[in-house]
Amino acid sequence: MKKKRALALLLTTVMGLGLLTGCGGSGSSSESADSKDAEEGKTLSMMCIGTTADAYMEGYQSIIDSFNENNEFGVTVDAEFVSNSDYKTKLTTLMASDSEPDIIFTWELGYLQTFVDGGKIVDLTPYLEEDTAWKDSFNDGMLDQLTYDGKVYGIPTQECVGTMYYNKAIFEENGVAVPTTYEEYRQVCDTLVANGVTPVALASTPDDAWLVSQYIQQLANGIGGYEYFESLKDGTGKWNDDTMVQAAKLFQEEVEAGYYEDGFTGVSGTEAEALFQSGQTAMYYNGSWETSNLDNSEYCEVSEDVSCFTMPAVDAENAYISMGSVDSSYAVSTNCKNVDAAVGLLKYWTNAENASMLLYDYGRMPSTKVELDQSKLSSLCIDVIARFEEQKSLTPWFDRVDTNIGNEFNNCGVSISNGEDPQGIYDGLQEYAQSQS
Amino acid sequence: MKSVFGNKKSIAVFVLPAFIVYAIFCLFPIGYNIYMSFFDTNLMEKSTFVGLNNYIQLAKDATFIKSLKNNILMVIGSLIAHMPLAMFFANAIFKKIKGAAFFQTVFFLPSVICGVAVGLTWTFIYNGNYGLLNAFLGAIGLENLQQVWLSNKNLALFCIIIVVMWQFVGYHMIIQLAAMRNIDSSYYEAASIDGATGWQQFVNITLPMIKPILKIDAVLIITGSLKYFDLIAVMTGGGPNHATEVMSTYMYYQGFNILKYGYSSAIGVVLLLLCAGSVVLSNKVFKTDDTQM
Repeated sequence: MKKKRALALLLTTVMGLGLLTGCGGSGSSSESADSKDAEEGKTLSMMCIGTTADAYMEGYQSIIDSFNENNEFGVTVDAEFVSNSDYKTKLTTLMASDSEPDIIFTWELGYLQTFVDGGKIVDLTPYLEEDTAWKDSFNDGMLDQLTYDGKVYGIPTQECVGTMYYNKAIFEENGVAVPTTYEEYRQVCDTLVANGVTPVALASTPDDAWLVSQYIQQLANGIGGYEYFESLKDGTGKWNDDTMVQAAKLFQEEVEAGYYEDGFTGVSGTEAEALFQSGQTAMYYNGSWETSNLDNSEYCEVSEDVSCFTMPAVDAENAYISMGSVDSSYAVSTNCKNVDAAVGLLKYWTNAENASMLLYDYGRMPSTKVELDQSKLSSLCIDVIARFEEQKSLTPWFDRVDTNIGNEFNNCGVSISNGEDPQGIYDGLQEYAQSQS
Repeated sequence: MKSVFGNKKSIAVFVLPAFIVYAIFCLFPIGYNIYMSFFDTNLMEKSTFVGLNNYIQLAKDATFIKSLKNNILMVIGSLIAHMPLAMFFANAIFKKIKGAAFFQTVFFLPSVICGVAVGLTWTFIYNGNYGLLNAFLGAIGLENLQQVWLSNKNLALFCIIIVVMWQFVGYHMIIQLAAMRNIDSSYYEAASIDGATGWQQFVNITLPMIKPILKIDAVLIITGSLKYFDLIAVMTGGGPNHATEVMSTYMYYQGFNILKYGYSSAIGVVLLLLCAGSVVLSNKVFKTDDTQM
């Protein structure tokens, strides 16, 4: 009898646990802390991207701190930093449960559009019209990527371009020079492989699928030019076009030739970057936002030796069409009780003083016109700025153009790096894209 | 006492708090989820009623079908590990092999560790560069089998299923062991006097006597592996390129990554129906004569 009771108890516990775990699907988060202050608009919540592996976080926090100490609105901004891979799901969850922070980090184009269409984002056009000096401080075309129906919904604080970072010391030791054509690039890599040096650090785990796909997109730029990007963006082009397939095949040839570290398909983004930062690979392809992590000896052992070049185009006539866009944009949510103060923070963030501080100390490329003091610029920053200046056009990342299809494009990159047939993979993507329209 | 529990109203008073909590956190979300599955919505713009369109889309969605197949593989894998294998271990401990108490604890231990920690640990074991598995293969001279396990679309799912098998075998072993310990020892005494072998005793006494528990256990195993989420989310996130996607991770992806909450709800409803179906099925399979107990 006693045993029976014990058994009954055990089973009840088991089923009780099953019940608890079974209902975990529909979580909702609520922010009750500081709700009174938020009600009065005295505290503004902000969500940014950053982890302790990002050198710039300190710079961002210092801007927020100094704004908090002294601002005409009497508000305190409370910023939360979330890692890049978690940010999207976190924000969409908050948005869906109507509890998003007052100021949010956002990507441009299709990413922000969903929230704009959903009526979640404040139209900032009046604030820009009111303060034309602020509006005019942005570089040409910067606000276009965040403009929907002629209204500006987001403020870009940076711009970015995809560049190939390289280690000058390794290049010198192996007697190779910066390549100016794609053939030369392959020769450089071949020489490095022959000398036992891993040419490029790359990551290809599912969370970091975009790292592979941005490189394939860059190769496709060099084959199909800006027109191909445009055609995919407006839906007239095909994902399984020869251009994309050829780009993926070139990438697979590079994998075959050993240009990437062993087992890169299981290497995460931070691990890949660490390989380059510790001088174990000669090159590393990523956006110019990485400058802050490569230019800082605390984060990068070889910071003295890092320089960069624009990835040469496969077809020379498409040279200098690189990955690039605005970056680190911020938008104000319609939940915000004190839009004036939120805009005040963004103005403060993008003023000449802070923009140049971020540039000189953290290598963050400003979206605004900043008078450069060459003496304060690091050599890597000078190189990166030169990369911006030589571009003919910039193609934003596909997951920023359209979150849904862009995500799938990124996922395809993982299959490509695992050696699957590009034609089959992109046929599937094309089919998916058509089913979504 | 009798008068208190004889009164229907007083029973209701005792049941009500639990029922309210259950209704708020389980019944209402399920109902709302079913309602949402008929809409095309991202929970921000106006939602449009689309009738059964989400379900029609699901039937055509290659990734959903892939995730359904993966779920079925998960169920099969779990059934193998958590029925015969767990029963084998349970019986061994029941028969008091040497160190039974020790093995009981060791086998049960993984199931008390949180799924995320288990997932991370095994991610390291499967890691291509410094993983334990590759190091082991290297040590025994099987270098040609070394690979990045979780990035191989053909192997990743099996790698995960093995972890699920490992993690929960002890849990189901304990359930079955508890049932075995509940059997009156006089049956075994009588059987050994009649000269029944160990195997005969197992088939004719143990198995029929624990059948009602096996029924509940089968429901737990099947529903558990249908709605499995945490380990996959941690280990592969459904990748590489949806190769290890199961229904729950795909539901999450459609909802929280690309904001198709209506579509995601439809996946939830399919999941619910499958779980309910599995209860009916295991009731059929383990049909018992209740008077036996």
